Formats: sequence, structure tokens, C-alpha cells
Amino acid sequence: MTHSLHRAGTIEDLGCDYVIIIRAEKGYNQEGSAGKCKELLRLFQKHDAVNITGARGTNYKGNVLETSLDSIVEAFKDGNSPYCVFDTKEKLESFLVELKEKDFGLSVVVSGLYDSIRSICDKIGIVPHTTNHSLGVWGNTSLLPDGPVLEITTMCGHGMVSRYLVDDLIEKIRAGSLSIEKAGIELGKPCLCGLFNPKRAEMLLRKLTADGNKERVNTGVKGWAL
Amino acid sequence: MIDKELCIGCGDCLPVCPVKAIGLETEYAEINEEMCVECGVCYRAKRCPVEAFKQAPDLPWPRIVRRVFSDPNAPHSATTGGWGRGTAEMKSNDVTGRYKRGMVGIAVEIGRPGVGETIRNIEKIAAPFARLGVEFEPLNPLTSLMEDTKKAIFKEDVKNERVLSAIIEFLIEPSRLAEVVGALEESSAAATETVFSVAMINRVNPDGAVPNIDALEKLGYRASPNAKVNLGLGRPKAEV
Repeated sequence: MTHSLHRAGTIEDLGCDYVIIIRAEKGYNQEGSAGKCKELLRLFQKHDAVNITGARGTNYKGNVLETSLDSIVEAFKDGNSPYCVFDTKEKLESFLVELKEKDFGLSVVVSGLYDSIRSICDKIGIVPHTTNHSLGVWGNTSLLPDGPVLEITTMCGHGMVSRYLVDDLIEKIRAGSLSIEKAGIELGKPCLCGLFNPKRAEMLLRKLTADGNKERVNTGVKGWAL
Repeated sequence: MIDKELCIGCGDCLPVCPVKAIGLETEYAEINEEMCVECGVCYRAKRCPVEAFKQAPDLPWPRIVRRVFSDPNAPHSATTGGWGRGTAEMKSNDVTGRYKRGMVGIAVEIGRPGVGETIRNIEKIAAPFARLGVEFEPLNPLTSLMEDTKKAIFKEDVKNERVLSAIIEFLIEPSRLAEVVGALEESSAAATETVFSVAMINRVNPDGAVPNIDALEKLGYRASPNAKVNLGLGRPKAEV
């Protein structure tokens, strides 16, 4: 599962988008992990994450864009993985400082600009263990939506956010029947894992609905433009 | 499925489908069963003013293949028993030690982002990797659908099923990176009706450097500036 990888965007846009995935692995450290995970969910909130969730199946209650954190915490069981998104590097750093101090002993994955993550790790004394880099989109890339729309839809790695929903909400914003803030939240609701960043979506929607908007990112390449 | 008795044909549901499988007929909305990947977004979206969307609790084999690969909330109970399209890959590598130093993990997610593909065409895209003689990850649910894992031949009864995405996972030695890039180019040419996203997994060197990024650039390809990073905070630590 690579649901936080392959987020399209410029370095500027990706600078406000950091995903956290906590993993308790079956057969290693999963038994009795629910309590730690519940504490971590509260920690996400303390450090002002813009989206939070994680539980699956019958324990799934939605992400915080559509339900309360209390209901998510209440439903968490061993084997569920807490997820969140921070919209600034500063929030990520403050979270990682406290995370390291609390030493939960669970696997922690951060998705975002590698150089930013690495600089925070260097600062707080963490040596990264393993990396997973995207090598881009291949095949018939003419099937993909234009850059900014793709930036929005790829914030849900499971592909739950429809490009056609983005188009629909842009029409509603332009017609004055929906605010950009509400559209950002609306787009994040289908993302079961809560990895969708509504603040970044707002920023992209502002660009998409601005007069004279032009496409900025050509994602139809093998490898990514640096 | 849509309850035609309830549907008022307003069309509000159409944009939520990631693969445009919902169409508006004269009086009601209808799902194109061929295009539908059973992701469940239309049902969960709760956009329908008359609640005409219903989700069948159980789908028969092989239709269920669509749901377990496309709906993140559906477990692979008929195959690997896990969740999602692939495995935990590097997310818990600090405790599992699956990706060791001196090896490179490759993940090819066919259909992503947001296009989807049939298992029949996934077979064509997987073939160049099979010809390299790689071992497809046995715990990956896509591998479990293969009849012949050496040749990446899929079971006949699942070939017409369409999924939002599915992942091929395998390990290689770094010296084979050029061969893999060649296979990616071959697969890319075969992917006329879809796209695929590629990922490269590396165990970080003791000095903190990420191996194989430079080798990739020498081959003419770049890694993304954003990455997933396992911080190595899990316990017990894997000996890798």
C-alpha cells in the first residue's frame, strides 16, 4: 500500500503537505497497541493536524472532516493504524519532537518533501530507516486530468476523490453557491484514510477558480520535475 | 446499486464516481456495471437526496475482486486476508526487515492515479517484469490472483474484472535497476488504456544517504522530491 505516495505537485505546494502513518505490525508489536494509537490520535489533534483517522472495516467512523475525533478514538482496536496530515513543516516538527520523546515503539512513516523531513530528522536526532520514492506516472498519461486537479485527487492515494467531483465543486464555487473552504472539506470526505489535506485543496481551488488560471504542472512525465 | 424506484434522476450522484461509471438515463441514474470498480464511493458519499444507493453486502466471485482491490474498507477475505491493494511494504520495515540493505523494492501500481484497469490488461503490463525473472511478492493480493507467478499469467475467471488499482511488488538487486527501467518502458508502451505509478524502496545507508537515487539519475530518470520515510522508531528492531 502506497496510499500517501505519488502526491502530485510543485515543491511549493508539497511544502504544506505532510502525512503521518503509524503502523503496529501483526506478529511484532500489534498486540495491545490500541491504547498507544488512541494516545497518538489525541497527539495529532494537539499538534493541529488538518485531517485525522485510520480505523477500517466495522471500526471505521469516517475522518475528522465528517465525524468527531472522539468517535474515531472510541472505535479504535488493535491492528488499526492512526493517520493524519499536517499543513506546515513547523507542525510536523513539533509533533515529531513529542513523538520521539514519548517513544511509543510503533513504526512511524512521514510522507512529504524528503529534504524537509530529513532536515527535521537531523535536527531532532532521528536517522531515517527506509525510504519510498515515487518514480512518477507511466503509460497513457493523456488519460489524467490537468495538473492542479491531479494535485487534488492524488491527495487520496486510494483514488476515492473523483476528478469529476473537483470539476463539479469548481462550478459551484464559480456560481457562488459554495465557499472554497467548504469545497475543500467536501473533497476530503471520500478519503477513507484521512490523508486528504483540505487546506492544500483550498489553496489549489483558489488557483483553479482564479481569473486567467493556467495549468502549472505537467505530471505526464516519467520521473518528476524537480 | 441504484434503486430505480427511488431514484428521481437529479444527477447529483454523477460527479462522485472516480471512473465515471454512473450515467443519467431519461428518468434515473444507472451504473455501468462494466466500468464500475465497486469502490463504494457513491454509496458512502450520501449525496443522493432520496438514498437510492445500496451496497450489496456480499458480491459473488469473481465480481468481489473489484471491491477488495478498489474499496479500502473491504478486506481480501477470499485471498490474502489483508487490506488494500498491496502489502504493508516499507511502512513497518524497521520491525519486519523486509527491505534489507543491498536490495531495492519496486512497486508498480497499475490504474493509479484514478484510471483503473482490467486484470486482463494488468497481465500485459506485468509481463515484462515476469520476463526479468523477478519473484512477485507472495503476500500481495494481486499475486494471489495469478495462475502462474513465474509468467504473471492470471486466472481466467478474474481477467474481465476491473479494479481501480492493483500493485505488482518485487525485490531486485541494485545492479538490475537498468533492466527494471527497461521493463517499465515496455510496460508503459503496453499501457494504452491506463496509467501506472512506480515506487522505489531503499533501506537507508548508515550515514543517512539514500542509495540508488544517483544510479537512477544516471539512467535518465528522477525520483520525486516527496517520499515516504520510515523513521525507524518501531520495536523490536529488525536486524537489517
